[in-house]
Amino acid sequence: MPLYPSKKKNKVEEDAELNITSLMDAFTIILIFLLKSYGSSVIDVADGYRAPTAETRLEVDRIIALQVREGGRDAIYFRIGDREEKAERLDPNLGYQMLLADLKTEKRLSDATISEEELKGAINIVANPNVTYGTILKVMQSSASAGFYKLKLIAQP
Amino acid sequence: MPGLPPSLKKQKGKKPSDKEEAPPLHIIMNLVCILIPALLAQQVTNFYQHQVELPSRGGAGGGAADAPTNQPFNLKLTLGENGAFMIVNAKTLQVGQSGLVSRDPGLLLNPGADGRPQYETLRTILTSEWENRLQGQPPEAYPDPDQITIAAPVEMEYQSIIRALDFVRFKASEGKGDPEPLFSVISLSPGSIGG
Repeated sequence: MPLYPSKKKNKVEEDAELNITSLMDAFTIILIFLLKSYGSSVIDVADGYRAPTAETRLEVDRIIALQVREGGRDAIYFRIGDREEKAERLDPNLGYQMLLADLKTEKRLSDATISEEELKGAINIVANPNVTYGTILKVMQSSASAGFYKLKLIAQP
Repeated sequence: MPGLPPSLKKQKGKKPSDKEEAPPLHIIMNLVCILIPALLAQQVTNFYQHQVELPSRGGAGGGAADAPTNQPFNLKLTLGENGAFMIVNAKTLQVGQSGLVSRDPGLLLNPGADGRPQYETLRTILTSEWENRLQGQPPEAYPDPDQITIAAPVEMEYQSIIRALDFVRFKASEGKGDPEPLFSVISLSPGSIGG
């Protein structure tokens, strides 16, 4: 029976071709990772939190962010930076004590890391649009008591 | 084989190693190239800020020797639950101007006929007050020309506060470049109209 070496050679050449379909699969996966990482923007708003809408177009500074959402009557959920979310009920006399304590800790860290004088004592506050004004005022008072006097209310277009 | 249809004849002659026709990948790649920036643009959310302050406590102190001698504006805006605005300490606004009515302790701008707050009218009124109050002098001649205190009921939604800040912070844009600042130092305090 005669052999056909030329066919074997052709097969090897076919295998050497670039498999574009696999390459595209890889690109698709990379694209998802890129979207996840690039989508963080200046402020990484966690699930469940949403900034109110505004027409003002003043750029946001890259500083610590405090995220707040309503957690029922006189209660809030808050999240400082990328730390874990906490829940707290308002003390009528003392305000949000846990929030205040956490912000004081964060202030010390913030002072040590931020070199720009303008941004010292500044904090971005991301609060859900349905949070009451009274809650926002309490949160702002806690922030000011912790040393964050430059209060920047974050909004989205 | 004369009994078989032509299609089967063709199939029989086809070798298993024959390649199928390649899909037009360049079209898909072009589509992906358009999709990537479109998806990225959707993912990145732009955020903006309103810098605010809490009302300062205690007296104003002695001040510097070269401090402005003109009386401070001391303007206060109170947002009503029904969409009304109360402007307190306005000196140049008149009753009837843009629908302003007199009501203790200041001038009241009621909501529009549709029941919605008249944000644009508010901005026009505040701009008028600001310009007339300066009396041709530079803003530096006054201690607080860029300051206003905003009060609102504690039950009001945060979104309404932010909406009001939009119209207080800048003058009306004339479509050329960035709008001019009106009140850039905004203090937030609790309160209600008539309270």
